[in-house]
Amino acid sequence: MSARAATVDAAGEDRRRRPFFSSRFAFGLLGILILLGCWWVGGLVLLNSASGQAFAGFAPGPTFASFVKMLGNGAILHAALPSLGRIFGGLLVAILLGVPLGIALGRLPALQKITHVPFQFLRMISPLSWMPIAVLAFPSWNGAIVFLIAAAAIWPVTFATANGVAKLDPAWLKLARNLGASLPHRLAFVILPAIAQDMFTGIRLALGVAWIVLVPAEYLGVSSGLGYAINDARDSLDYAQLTAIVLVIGILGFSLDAICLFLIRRVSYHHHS
Amino acid sequence: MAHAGSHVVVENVSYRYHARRPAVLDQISLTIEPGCATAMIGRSGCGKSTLLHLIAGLVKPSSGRISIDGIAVTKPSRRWVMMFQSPSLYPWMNVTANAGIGLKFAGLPPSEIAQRVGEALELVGLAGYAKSRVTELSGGQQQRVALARSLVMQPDLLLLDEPFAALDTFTRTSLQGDVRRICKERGITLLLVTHDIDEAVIMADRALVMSAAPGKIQAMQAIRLAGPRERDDPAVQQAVAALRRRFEMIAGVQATDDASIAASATTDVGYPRMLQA
Repeated sequence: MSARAATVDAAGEDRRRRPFFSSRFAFGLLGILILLGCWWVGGLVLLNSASGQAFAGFAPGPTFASFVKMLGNGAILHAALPSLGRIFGGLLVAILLGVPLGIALGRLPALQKITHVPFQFLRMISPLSWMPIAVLAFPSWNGAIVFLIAAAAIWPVTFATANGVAKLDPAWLKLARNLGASLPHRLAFVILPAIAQDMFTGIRLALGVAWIVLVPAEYLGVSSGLGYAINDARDSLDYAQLTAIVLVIGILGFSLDAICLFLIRRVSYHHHS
Repeated sequence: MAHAGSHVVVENVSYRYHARRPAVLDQISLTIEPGCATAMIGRSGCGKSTLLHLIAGLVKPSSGRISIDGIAVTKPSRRWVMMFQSPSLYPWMNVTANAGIGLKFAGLPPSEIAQRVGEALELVGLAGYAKSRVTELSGGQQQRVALARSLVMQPDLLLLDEPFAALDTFTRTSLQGDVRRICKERGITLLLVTHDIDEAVIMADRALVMSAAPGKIQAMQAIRLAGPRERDDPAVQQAVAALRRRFEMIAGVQATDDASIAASATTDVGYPRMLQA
């Protein structure tokens, strides 16, 4: 009886999903076109004003031309790779520290109470304010930037993990214990899969913050990366190149977020049928 | 696969949540012979579920000793497995993975896990659902997966903590019959906790009647009935009536049918008030 109900449901869902999917695509396209339209109008305004003509490179036309050129000569890859390396380095540190910390916070209410004030205090300090200290503490600028990204990313990872652990069904753990699961087994087969969705949601938030922190951090000291490329383009008055880098930052950020969203969907077990 | 059912010995076991609180269980002593099916009945709050947790090694007694096959119980083991009222399946795993999780904890090779899980799913009538998501199953099917998950461990002792209480009558009846049959076929010692007198008669070889505050075993009644026990069989009804009289005498309340027993057991009316009623 339940098998038949499931078939009916699946068919009903199919009928509903098709128009929804195509309309989502159409709306997405419309949004992109509106954004491009605003950009294009802005470019026209610059071109037609006496003081703005020097900045005509900001317009979509020159930007896309510069984008294609930089894609061809490898300038985009050259700027993006060091930045991506720093992001992954910082996120990795944040995950390696934040996930165990989050699990401990979720399992030990006393630890949660002790750390609440210090953590909320530290969380509200802009990671960039650590910059002078980071520069003193790390021998290389690269290390300092990875530290700043980790400092920004650790809080969302920690809190989302703790939140996931706190709402874990205690019966799941009792059951594992009843079947003779050791602590590492409970961690690997029960706790981690149960909180995976919260964990990846935290990583997604962390990535958003880290990506925002990355560019200003790269304005200082280093001579590689997307932030450096923006500064470099400004100094050489190549505004088309500057906007092309901004475009790259947006596209990469969007793609990284999409990967996180995909991972969240993969590990989610809350399926609304 | 032949099992030697467990021999369970409980000696002078008491349990209190806190040193200054009254005892939940007071000086319980109990012996369960290998392969025997025993039901513990009593109202909610009489500590029957706590006693089951103590025997399973999930909770430690405040005093007294519990041993299974001569070995003192200090922690849970693969050889004695408990089933709870909620099946608590892991929603991120399919039916097969859920049924085999205990064997995975035990570190068995995947081929042996697959074989044992296949057999167990066949036994509980879910062979066609091996790859299904557990969230798509009915309550009864989920409890059958939980049963399979317990049986793959090839336990010597199966502890049931009202695992069928949340199911509809039809599903409950079929599971009651199946569990008794499987345990008898395999020689598994069965210990179940219930507030349903019909369930005790259908599933057990003897029933222990418990009183509350503090929890004590007040009476033992043997249930000697032949082969598949049907609810509407006159012999079964006679045994139910006899056990109900015993239960009412100890609980001190006129319970006329299952519904009122179930209701009084779940509404958590204190034992002393029941005496006045």
